[in-house]
Amino acid sequence: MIEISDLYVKYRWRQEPIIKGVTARFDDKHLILGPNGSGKTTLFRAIAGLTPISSGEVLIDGVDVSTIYGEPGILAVNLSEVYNVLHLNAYDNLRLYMDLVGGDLDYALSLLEQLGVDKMLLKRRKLWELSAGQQKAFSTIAALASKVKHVLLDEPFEQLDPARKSRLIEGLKEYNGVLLLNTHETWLLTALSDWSTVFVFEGKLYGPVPVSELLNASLVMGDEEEALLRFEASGCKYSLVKSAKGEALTKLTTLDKVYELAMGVQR
Amino acid sequence: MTIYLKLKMKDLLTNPELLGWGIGFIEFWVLMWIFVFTKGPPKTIPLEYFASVNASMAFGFLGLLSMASVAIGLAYSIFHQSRAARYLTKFTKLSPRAFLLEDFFGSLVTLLIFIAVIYASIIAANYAKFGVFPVLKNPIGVFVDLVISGVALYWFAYALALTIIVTRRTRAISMVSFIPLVIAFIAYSQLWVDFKSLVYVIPLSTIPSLLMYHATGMVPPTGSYLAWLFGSEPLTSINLRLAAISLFAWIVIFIAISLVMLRKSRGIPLEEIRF
Repeated sequence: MIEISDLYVKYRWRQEPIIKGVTARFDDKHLILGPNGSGKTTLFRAIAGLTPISSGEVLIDGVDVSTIYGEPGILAVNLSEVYNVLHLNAYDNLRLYMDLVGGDLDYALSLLEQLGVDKMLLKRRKLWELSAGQQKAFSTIAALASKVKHVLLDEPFEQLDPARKSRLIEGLKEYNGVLLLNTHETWLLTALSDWSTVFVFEGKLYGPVPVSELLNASLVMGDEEEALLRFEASGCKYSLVKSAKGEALTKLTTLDKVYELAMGVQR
Repeated sequence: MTIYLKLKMKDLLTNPELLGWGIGFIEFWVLMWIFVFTKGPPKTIPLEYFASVNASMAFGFLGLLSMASVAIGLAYSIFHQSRAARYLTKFTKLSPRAFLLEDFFGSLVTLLIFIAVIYASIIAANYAKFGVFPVLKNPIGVFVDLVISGVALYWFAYALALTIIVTRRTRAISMVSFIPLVIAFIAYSQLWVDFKSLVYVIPLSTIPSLLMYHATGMVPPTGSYLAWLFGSEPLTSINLRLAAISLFAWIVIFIAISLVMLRKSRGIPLEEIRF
C-alpha cells in the first residue's frame, strides 16, 4: 500500500510547488488521469524517492520512502532514466536490472518481443539508441517483470501503436499487485473499467472515482450539484456529471482539452 | 558481489573513448618516448642502467597520464549513472554501500588493466630499442603504488562528478572531467621542472617518484628527472615518506569531498542531474 499525506514538492525553494498538499492512499489498480504538466510524473518521482519532498510524507507498506535502501521487491517505476545504468547495450542493462531485483529476464524478453522489441535489437542497440516507443516499452516491461508489490507506470502508452497498446493492456490486466498508471489519455477508461481513477490538476489530486462510473460521465464547466467529482483548473471550476450534457469524458481523447474548454468560455 | 561489478568493467573496457585516450593516445607517447625522444645513454652511463631507469620513468609518467585519461571516463560514468544510482540503491539489492564498493572495485581493476597494457608496451618497446628487459626491483611495491594511485584517481573523479551535480553546473562536466588529466600533465612537467617542496602539495605529482623508487630502487629527485637521468645537475632527492603522506592526504581529501557531496546530492531532484 502507498500512503501519501499532505505532500508538497518543488524543485527550487523559490518555485511554486508542483505537488500541492496531496493526500492519497493506493492499494489496488489506479489510473492517475491529468493533463500534461499537471504534476503526474513529479508525483511518481516523489513516491519513488527520486525527488526531494518539501513537506509531507510518502509511506510504502508503512515505511517512509526516504529511509528505504537496498530493498528489492517493493517498488518499480518505468521512468527510462533509471534503467540507463551503464553505457552498454539495452540487453545488458535489462540483464543487470533483472538480476538486481530478482526479476524474470525471460518473462521480460517475451513481453518485449510481444511489443516488437526483440532480443537481437536489444543486444545491438544502447538504450538511448532505441526509438522513443521502444524505450517506453523497455522501461514499462522492466518494471512489470521485476515482480514487485508496487508498480508506477508513467504514460506507458505514449508512442506505442494501437496493436502494441492492446497487448500492453493485456499485460496490465495480468499484473497482480498495486499498480498506478498515469496518463492524459481518457480512452484508457474503456479498457480498464475495473480500476479506480484519481484526477490530477495543477498539482492537486481529486478522487478516487471508480472507472465504471466515469464511462458515461461528461465534463461540464461550473459547480454542478450532483457531480461525481468537482475540480479546478486554470481558475475555472469543472464538474464530472452523469448526464448527456457537456463533453463525454471518454471522447475527450486527452485531458488537455479541459484547458481548451476554459479558453472557449473566456473567448 | 552482484553482476554490476562485471558489467561495470565491461562498460569501461569496451568504451571506445576510454580505450582511445587511455591506451591509444598513451601508446603513441610510449613509442615517441622510446623511439624518438630517447637518444641513448652518454658514454659515462651503462646501457642497462640507462634503459632500466628510462623505462621506469616512462612507466611512472605515462602510466599516470593513462590513469588520468581513464579518470575522465570515470567522471562521465559517475555523472551519468547518478540518475539511475539513486533508484537502484533504493529498490534493488544493490544497497548504497554495495554500489560504492562494486563501482570502486570495477573501476580500480579497469585502471590496473589499462596500466598493465601500458607497462607491457613500454617493456616491449624498450627491448626493441635497447635489447634490455628492465626488471622491477620491487614488483609488490610497484603494484601497491598503482593500486593507491588508482584509488586516488577514482575518488578524484568521483569528487569532481558529484561537485558538478551539487553545484548544478551540469554543462561543465566536459571541462571539469578533464581536470585529472590536466593535473597529470602538471606532474608530467617534472621531467623538465624541479617542483622542489611544491611536489608534496600538487595532487598526484608524487606518484611517479613512488613508482620510480619501487621500480629501480633509487630515490628520485623532486623534479627535473631528465637532468637527473643524465646526471647533468645536482638535485634534491625526494622525501619518500612525505611523498607517500602527500598521496594519502589527497586520497583522504577526495574521499571526504565525495562523501559530503554524496550527502548533499540527495537533496537534488533527479530532473536536474542531466545536461
